[in-house]
Amino acid sequence: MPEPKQPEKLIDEKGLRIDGRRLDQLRPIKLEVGILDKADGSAYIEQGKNKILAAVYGPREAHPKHIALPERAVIRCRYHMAPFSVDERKSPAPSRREMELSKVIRESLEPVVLTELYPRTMIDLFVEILQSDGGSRCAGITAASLALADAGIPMREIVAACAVGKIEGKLALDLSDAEDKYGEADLPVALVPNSSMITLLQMDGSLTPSEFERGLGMAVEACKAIHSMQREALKKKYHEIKEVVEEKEESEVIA
Amino acid sequence: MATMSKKIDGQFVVPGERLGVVEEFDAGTGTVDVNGTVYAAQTGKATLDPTRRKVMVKTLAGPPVVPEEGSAIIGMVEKIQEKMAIVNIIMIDNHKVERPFTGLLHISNSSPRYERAMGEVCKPVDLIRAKVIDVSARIPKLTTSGRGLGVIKAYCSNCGGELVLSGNILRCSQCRNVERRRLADDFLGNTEPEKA
Amino acid sequence: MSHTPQLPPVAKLEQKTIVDMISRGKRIDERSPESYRPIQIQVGLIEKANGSAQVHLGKSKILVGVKVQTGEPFPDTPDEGVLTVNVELVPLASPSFEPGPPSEQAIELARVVDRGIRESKAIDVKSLVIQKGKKVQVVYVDVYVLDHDGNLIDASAMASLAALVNAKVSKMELKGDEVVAKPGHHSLPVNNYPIAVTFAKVDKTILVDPSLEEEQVMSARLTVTIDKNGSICAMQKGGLSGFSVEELKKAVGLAVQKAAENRAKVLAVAKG
Repeated sequence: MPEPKQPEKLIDEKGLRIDGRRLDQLRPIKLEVGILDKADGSAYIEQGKNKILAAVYGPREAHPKHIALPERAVIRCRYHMAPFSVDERKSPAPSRREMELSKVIRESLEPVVLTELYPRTMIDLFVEILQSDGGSRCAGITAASLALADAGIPMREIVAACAVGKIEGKLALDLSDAEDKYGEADLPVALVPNSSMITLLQMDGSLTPSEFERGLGMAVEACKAIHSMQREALKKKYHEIKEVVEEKEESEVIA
Repeated sequence: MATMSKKIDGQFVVPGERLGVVEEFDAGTGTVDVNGTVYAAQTGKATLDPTRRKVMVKTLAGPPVVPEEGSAIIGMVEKIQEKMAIVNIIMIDNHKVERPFTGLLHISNSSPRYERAMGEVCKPVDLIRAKVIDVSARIPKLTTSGRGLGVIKAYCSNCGGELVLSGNILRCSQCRNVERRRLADDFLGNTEPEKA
Repeated sequence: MSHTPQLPPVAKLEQKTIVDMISRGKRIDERSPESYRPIQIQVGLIEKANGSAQVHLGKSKILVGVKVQTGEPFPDTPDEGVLTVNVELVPLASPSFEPGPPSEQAIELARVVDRGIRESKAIDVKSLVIQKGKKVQVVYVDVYVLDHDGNLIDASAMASLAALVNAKVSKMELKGDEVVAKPGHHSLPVNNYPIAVTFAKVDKTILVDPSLEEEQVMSARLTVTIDKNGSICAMQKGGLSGFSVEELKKAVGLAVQKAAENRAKVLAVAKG
């Protein structure tokens, strides 16, 4: 795939972005729950051109044993990009960026998992970026928290994540690849909605404190919108199962 | 208050959905109490137990399968020492566990009778049916002392052949070596017809 | 893979006492929640480096050496020089540091310091080109942690900035196929002065400049890097919990103020 050229303008005279979105508009999001057979829980997200799989294994016996904690489960996390996920082939060996993102993704989800219920075990979280299009860590968190719910791991609530950026001096929601590359700032945020807690916050570029406050507000609202999509995705998957289970229960009662 | 409860009962919920407050009912399995508010912690059907004033979520996802006190397990003996056996737990309450948990069977919990040595209870590669009695230690503790518990499949420590029961004697189907085990009532190897 | 870290057993023992004190508005070293430990800065200790600086932040000690060498640009930025930040958590600095490949902690530390310098455009990378697409100057910022008593991020960021400001380099030019140094030394083109300000959340209290004991009991950590114009150029949240929107706004406000104070200290020494 040829590398996309720098667009002349990121915002046109009508105030629309290169993909036709308004500044406060998310890219189209598609969520699916429970799509991998072997994993204890899994989810898939498409957000713009992002295509990301998340899978959860566990709680299982901690390995290596010395990482186990006596009072809670250990969470392990790997964020990894497929070699073909970006324009220039990426070496499959974990980069420093991937190691950092593995850490911040884990830290964004740790606060909601009821790890105290499974002492000495380990919960593994795998986020594979099949195609990357800006905001992949946030989309990865959105998918990973669905995979945790799909695994039936008890959790306080579902975490949603979204980035806000600055392009041509204006705050814009959910930056695409080109906007991230040629924009002036990127502010990825993860929100635990009921407790209004921010569990992922990073920033690079340049924002004044007042831009930061407005950007954070936009990100929080977007996370809430994504959160309701996550609930819908879970309901969609489990509604079918629920009906099957109920039919079975009813027939058992009759029998 | 009753109307609120009615609304929740039977509802399909996902983690983080508010079920009520602790003044109405206690947080049961599949729910979590956050500062007095009860939320669903799992995906499934909210169920009220009015007699025990408890709300639960009957989960449709998962739930995680881990050894808990009282779990019925099937394990493969990994190694034995004089007084104990290390067991790889491969099934918990009829759920297969792809990556085994480790369990520990001490000789004092291995049989209702006195056993002299672990080697007369089970040997490596044997399959045992056991119950989890304690998960507070670093490795879950097992017992094979109860009814239906014990070795369900055994292999010859000499040649690896399957052991079969003929009468009361446990014998290797390949090399005829005689061995001892703490067998479960329904030992799977008792297929060889008794000799006349 | 990144996994939930383990607290040293001793820290577990002290955890409750420290948290209780902080909830009552006291810090173990009797600072106010909004004050830094004493900061000492020295520059030019390493003659073989182009620039160097040592920062003592309380008992934390960081040494940074800047080396500038000729190298090749990245293929996607042929008209820019290269800036790299590397962190060594030297095993002599803490019982928790082990020799071996960089840990997750070292990588995060390096990337947060790097982001502050890069995103504030502190180094004019375009001025480092010798021959477009072929030869550029590469600025290596090597952070050496010598004593770990907490808040390595702020100390490393200050030491890196001081070492960059302190650095003297030769102007390079192309003579035929060879890169040769022009006579004389110049300062590196440092255009911005990013300062990192790190907060720890302990119970419900937000503390500036956490010490090691405070880091071991904190539920979450936040770093805000502020440039010379008072804008934010990098942020990083860490730790097993999170922050409310209000806490974040308050922290950013405080960071602007603290960064200005610390920037003055760094520049007073580094610029001589």
